[in-house]
Amino acid sequence: MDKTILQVEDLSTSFHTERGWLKAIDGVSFHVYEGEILGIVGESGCGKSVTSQSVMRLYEEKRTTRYEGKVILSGRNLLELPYRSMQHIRGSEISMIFQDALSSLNPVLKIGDQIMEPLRIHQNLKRAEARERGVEMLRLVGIPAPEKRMDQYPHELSGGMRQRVMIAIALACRPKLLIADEPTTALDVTIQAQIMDLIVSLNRQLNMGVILITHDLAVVAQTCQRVAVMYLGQIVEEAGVPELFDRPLHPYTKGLLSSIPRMDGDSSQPLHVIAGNVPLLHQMPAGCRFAPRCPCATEKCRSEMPPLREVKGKQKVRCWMAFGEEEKHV
Amino acid sequence: MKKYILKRFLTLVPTIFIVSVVVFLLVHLTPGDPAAMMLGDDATMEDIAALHAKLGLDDPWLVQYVRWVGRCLHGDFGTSTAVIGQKVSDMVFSHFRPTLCLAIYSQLITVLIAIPTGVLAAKNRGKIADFIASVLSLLGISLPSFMMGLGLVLLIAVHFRWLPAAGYKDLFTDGLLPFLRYMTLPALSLGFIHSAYMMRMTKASMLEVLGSDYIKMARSKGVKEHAIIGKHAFRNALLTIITVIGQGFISALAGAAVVEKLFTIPGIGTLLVDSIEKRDYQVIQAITLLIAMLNVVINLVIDLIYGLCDPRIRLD
Repeated sequence: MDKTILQVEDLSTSFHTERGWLKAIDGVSFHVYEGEILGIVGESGCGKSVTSQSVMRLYEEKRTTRYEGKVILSGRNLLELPYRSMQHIRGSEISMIFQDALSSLNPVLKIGDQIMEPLRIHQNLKRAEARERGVEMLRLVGIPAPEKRMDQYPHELSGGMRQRVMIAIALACRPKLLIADEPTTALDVTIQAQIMDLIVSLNRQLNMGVILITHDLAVVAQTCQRVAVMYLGQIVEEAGVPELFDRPLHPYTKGLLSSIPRMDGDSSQPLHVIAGNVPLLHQMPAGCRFAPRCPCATEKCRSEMPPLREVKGKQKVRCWMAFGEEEKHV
Repeated sequence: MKKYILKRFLTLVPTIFIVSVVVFLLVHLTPGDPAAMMLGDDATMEDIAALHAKLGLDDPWLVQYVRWVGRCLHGDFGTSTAVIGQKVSDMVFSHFRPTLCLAIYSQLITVLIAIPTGVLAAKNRGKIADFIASVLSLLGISLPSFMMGLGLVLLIAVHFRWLPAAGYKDLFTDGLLPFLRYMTLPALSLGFIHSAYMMRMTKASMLEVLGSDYIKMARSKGVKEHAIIGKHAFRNALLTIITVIGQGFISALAGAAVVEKLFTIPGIGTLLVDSIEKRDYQVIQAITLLIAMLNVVINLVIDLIYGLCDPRIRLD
């Protein structure tokens, strides 16, 4: 369980824009253990998707994207690999599933062709063998009449089925790591639960690591072992799921948790809202990035960026106030 | 797919009906009496009246229309009023082959220039290849075909003497090589403008497809770059490109007049211009009908190709 399969160290991704180079994520570090599900949560635009796509180096245009830091998978730094070696890793060692299965499946290719493709590229299977494996994969993700589905096109399937197909494609070569980028956001609630159950059961069956990117804390609570909270391109808190939900340390995490509606809460009270708006990338605050919206920010918070530091065993947080409390306890 | 083809064929019926009515009215609403024109200035009122009765010009329009459609269906488009005794169908048919060959050849050149350049420009967006393609396409769009034709004649035929400046050799009676020698310059000048347009459409459509989620998904599966372009992106971009090819083919057929005149090719365009000069209504009518019908047929073919390329269309 404790074998690390992916180690991301100080990863920064910048994009070239009209305003110059903008860092979409800045100094992101985390790791994924074999067979665990790591949640990455945060609101829209906080850099969750940039993080996941940077791990796979999906932004490849050199003049418009710049990566810094390390992404280590099985002892190799992916950011230093030549492009061709990266192609061998994508789909065979790391796979990805996306939010919208309808737009992520090629509309003019049959399901069969799309699922056989990674098998034929990475495992050099012949057509017939690849087809057999494809059918097997479709059966594994719970698609009825898989032989028939192989010859159908994406638009002939329902939303939930399409998401299952995408999972089957991603897992066809049995990768060590699956990145699921908001896999259930586009689905309705009952299908959401089915897809999450499927991801969890495949995670156990195949013993692969999963990075689950979501903005839904309820999903994280039900499925993940550990969770990293992102705000404005940085990880602000990282902890085991029970610790994070029981005792959030970062004011942003606290804000997120208290903005979840509760069945047993007082429904006459308005929901908690984190004050202010997310600043734009080119108007980044000098100190702690959350300081302008933080209810307990001090002068130090506004001028000096706190590091991501371990407090209370394995819980990591990026907040001067939380460090202060820790010191008081000692 | 069968249902789609059948449905598409049924939609032809009203289109063809409307086209035939418009073409029929076009001639019958033009001022002037065809009988008087055929007989000349010396004709007596009795002669004109007799010819009217013979040609059925006194009948109600509906009767005339039905008779005309019936004859057209039998391939009888009447006789020319300018060249005595010449059957319109023979005239149009003999002039049609050069135009069709020219249009097909020019479209072939267009496609061979435009699609690779467009794909290359999209793939290397912002780089030098993209820049060169953009400049060339701007040049192509801004130059009218007669300018292009004259320029080509001056450079390649007059200056270098590589190819003949004008004339026509038939593909079937004279063979492939003479055909290529004589038709390359006209086909180039006819196709160049359109290839500039098609290149832009190819590039735009490829760029749109390359930015889509399924391309990202394909990359995340480890698909190699050439397969991403060729298999995943191009098949989707093809839908737009096919539309442009169809339009180009139609405009090459209908708009060949200038190039045919310039290179003295005995095609439909030449025949049309001559017939307009001679007020040969029967021929004008037949050519208009033919071009309109070709338009309809080409659009049908394009729709059927759509169905082959895009599985989503077949179902509707």
